[in-house]
Amino acid sequence: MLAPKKKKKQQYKKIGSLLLVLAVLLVLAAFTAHRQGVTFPEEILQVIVAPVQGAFQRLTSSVKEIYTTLKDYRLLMQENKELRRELAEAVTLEARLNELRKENARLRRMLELKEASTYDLIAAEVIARDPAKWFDTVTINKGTRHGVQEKMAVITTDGLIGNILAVTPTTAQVLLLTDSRRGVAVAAMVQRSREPGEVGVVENDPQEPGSLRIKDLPREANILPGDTIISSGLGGVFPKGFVIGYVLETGVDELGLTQYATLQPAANFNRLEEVFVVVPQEDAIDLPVEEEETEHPEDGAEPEGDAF
Amino acid sequence: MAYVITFVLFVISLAIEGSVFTLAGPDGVHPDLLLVVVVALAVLAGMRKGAVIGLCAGLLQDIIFGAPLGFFAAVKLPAGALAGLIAEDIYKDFTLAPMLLVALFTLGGDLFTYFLAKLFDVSTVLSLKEYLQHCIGPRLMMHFFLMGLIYPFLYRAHKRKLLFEESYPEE
Repeated sequence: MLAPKKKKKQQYKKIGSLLLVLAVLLVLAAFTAHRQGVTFPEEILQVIVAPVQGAFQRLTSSVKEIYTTLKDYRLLMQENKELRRELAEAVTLEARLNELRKENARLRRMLELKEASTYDLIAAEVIARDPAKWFDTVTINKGTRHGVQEKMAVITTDGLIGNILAVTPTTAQVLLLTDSRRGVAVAAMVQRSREPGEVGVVENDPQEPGSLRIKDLPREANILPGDTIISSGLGGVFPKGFVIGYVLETGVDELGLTQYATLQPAANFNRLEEVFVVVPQEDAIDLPVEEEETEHPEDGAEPEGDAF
Repeated sequence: MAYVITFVLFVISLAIEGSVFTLAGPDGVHPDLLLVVVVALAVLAGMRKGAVIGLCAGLLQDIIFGAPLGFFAAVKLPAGALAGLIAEDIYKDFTLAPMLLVALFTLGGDLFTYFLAKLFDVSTVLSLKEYLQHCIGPRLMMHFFLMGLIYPFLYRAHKRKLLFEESYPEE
């Protein structure tokens, strides 16, 4: 066993040696701080270590690549989710915008019609339609409180669509022209010729439900495909001059006494949203409307009256 | 055999330190695996061999990373020597001891490195306080846990006589 004094001396010796080596290292570091190039032994060491470093570096690069890919994937997923949400919002917004644009256009046309009309018009919205399609009726959101009464004519910006069938204080049912139950026929005439004798009756086309036809026209009536059919005002229910439809084809009845014509309705009965109820006026005057360009040069007759 | 294994340990430590560990740690603060290995080997080998191990490891680091020759050696030499000196009074199979030792030498070594960096005019933007907070603190924790992982393996290797034998004071 070493004596404590000797042991202590040895430790001092060790610490002294350590400090000496440390000092040598610091001097060496000071001398080599700005050295260029490496010595031969260093070169050998670097050559030996380089492959190991390369292997680990490749491993690190792979790990880094996987990590970056995963990180990017998460970012991409997040970005994708965000973009999808924004797209959904944009689509919804666009749909809403389109809807508002169409509504705006419809309301503009309605406003123009109301301003141009000499009739009192009650604007209403279609709030229901018979879903079974058995009956062509729609419900509007105006009733007796708003001045709506039975049998009043109902129009859209495109033309005549029907008349009031039943009315409550806040709603009314509109019987469309295409309904087969129609008891009140619409007296109509050809806008181009406007001959007083050439008045027919517009009714639902039994051959083609949902379509219209004009019948009981005189055999010699001047009617051709493309002609505009307007209400004649006879009968008292439907005011004169509202466009009903356009002639698709004409024909003679079975007995050969009268003519009939199938019509393309002016209004789209499948897309009724905003309508007007026409308040009848005894002194109502016909409104000026655009002349129909017809392809009947032989006729040459100028439209006398007017239509909505 | 011990020389070869030690050299391989150094090379692998330096390779890992310069590659894989660059991915670890916050704000570019990476663990010094070589220091952990030096302290662990020094604990098992004693003061004299610990000093040599620290010197060789430091010089190898200087050569591989192009530092002034003796810069890292000056840090690792005292770490190895003092770890070996203190280890004479601790139980080698008690892993917590080298874990605490490495934390202590990380603090001392990094402070000494900071001093050397100032001495050799190596540019550092961090003040000593920032260096303590942002570098030494995290590295201290990293080294503590790394030692916990590495030391049991090295202890087993030491028991199998694969590493340097402990040099006891002459009797």
